[in-house]
Amino acid sequence: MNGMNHVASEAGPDRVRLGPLERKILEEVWSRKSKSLTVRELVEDGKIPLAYTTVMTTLDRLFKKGLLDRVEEGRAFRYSAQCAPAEISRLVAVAGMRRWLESSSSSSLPLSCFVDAISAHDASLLDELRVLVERKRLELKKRKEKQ
Amino acid sequence: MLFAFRGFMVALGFFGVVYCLLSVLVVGVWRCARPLCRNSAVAAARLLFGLRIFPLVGSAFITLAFALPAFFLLEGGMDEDIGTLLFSAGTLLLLAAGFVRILSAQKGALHVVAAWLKGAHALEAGAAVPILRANHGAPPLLLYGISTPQVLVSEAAVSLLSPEELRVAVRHEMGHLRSRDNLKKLILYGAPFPGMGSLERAWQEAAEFAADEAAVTNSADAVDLAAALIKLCELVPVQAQPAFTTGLVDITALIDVRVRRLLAWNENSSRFVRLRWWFLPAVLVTLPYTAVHYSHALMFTHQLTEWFIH
Repeated sequence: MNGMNHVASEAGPDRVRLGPLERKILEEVWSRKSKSLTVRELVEDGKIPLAYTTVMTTLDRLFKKGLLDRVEEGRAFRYSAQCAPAEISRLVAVAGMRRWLESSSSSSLPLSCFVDAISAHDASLLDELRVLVERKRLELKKRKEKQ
Repeated sequence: MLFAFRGFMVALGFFGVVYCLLSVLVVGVWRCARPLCRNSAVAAARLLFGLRIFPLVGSAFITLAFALPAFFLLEGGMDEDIGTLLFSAGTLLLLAAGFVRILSAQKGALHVVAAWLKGAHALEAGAAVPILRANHGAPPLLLYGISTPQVLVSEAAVSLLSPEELRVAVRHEMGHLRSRDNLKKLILYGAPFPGMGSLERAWQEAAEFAADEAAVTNSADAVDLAAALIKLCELVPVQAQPAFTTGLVDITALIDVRVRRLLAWNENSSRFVRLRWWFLPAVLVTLPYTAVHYSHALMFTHQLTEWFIH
């Protein structure tokens, strides 16, 4: 591991938009015990039946999106995950919202729409919880009547 | 007199250094131990709070039990330098910042709660703690005060909740009262340290779960509390909740988890976990050992203090 240089992506995770192959490769990186791999290790493993150059390009893209970190190892790079699996959903959501906000011509409209969307989400969640509570109440009532 | 003042300054500097070191240790331990806190909510709340205040209590104990006696017994000359001054000034600054933070938050809380309490009247006579019907603007349910606690119930909560739901919701606040959660919040407020935020949030969540568990004695109670949570989290708070108070719906993001936990309640999950005396053997071994080797410990602490300061 001599002469290893730490290389950081300048892109940051704000460009998150994952294709199926990118997601599959990310999952492969997370599943590794060592949490890091080279292109060759990934190809030789056989879990992803793709050409060396395709895997290399995909890993490079993930690095540029800020999702992978990489260090030089000889003439190749060793890639490791920048964030945990749970973090990805949040980053994807944030990136999506940011893209949408940037694409909108009206500055005040998107935020109010987000508030509406979130309120609607909260309301549906509360409705779901309310149903669960009523179902449990009914269940308790039936149990009491049986006794 | 000058010697005693020097001793105080050295002890203060030592306290500051040990506090920072222990805090860094706790932040590191917390990052590794986070997945382990999945046990009983009461046990988790105690463990998390213990971990959070360990730097403060640990450094105070080491300073009072070792650093201060070591200085008075072993220090001879007058060789304190700029290091002593810097460390003690830094620690004083840290303590003063905590103190000012507490005072200003307390002042703000007093002002806000006073407005809510104007013309408030008792909701339930003969309760162990005054339960007051608060004015417009108050959060649905709130436990306020440390030495003279009061439970504030808003008009909206009274009208929205059934008597059973209100009773179990008030019991939730009593759970916070028994755990002295407001006092704990004050202590944490006065001892800030970078990186402790997630540990404090985890403690607050565990404290909510623990208060839920303390409020519930049967499945019907659990369902009533779940229903109360759903009803009250729809009320929009007029203003931010004041410091050193605990409300029924403090963390709205947690409602989903709390409701599901309550609906899954059963007799076994209700057992209030008593403080386990697992640490007693460790204390019984450590105390005599420290007593026997106290002089060595003092010498070591004195050398450590000299090393820190110089």
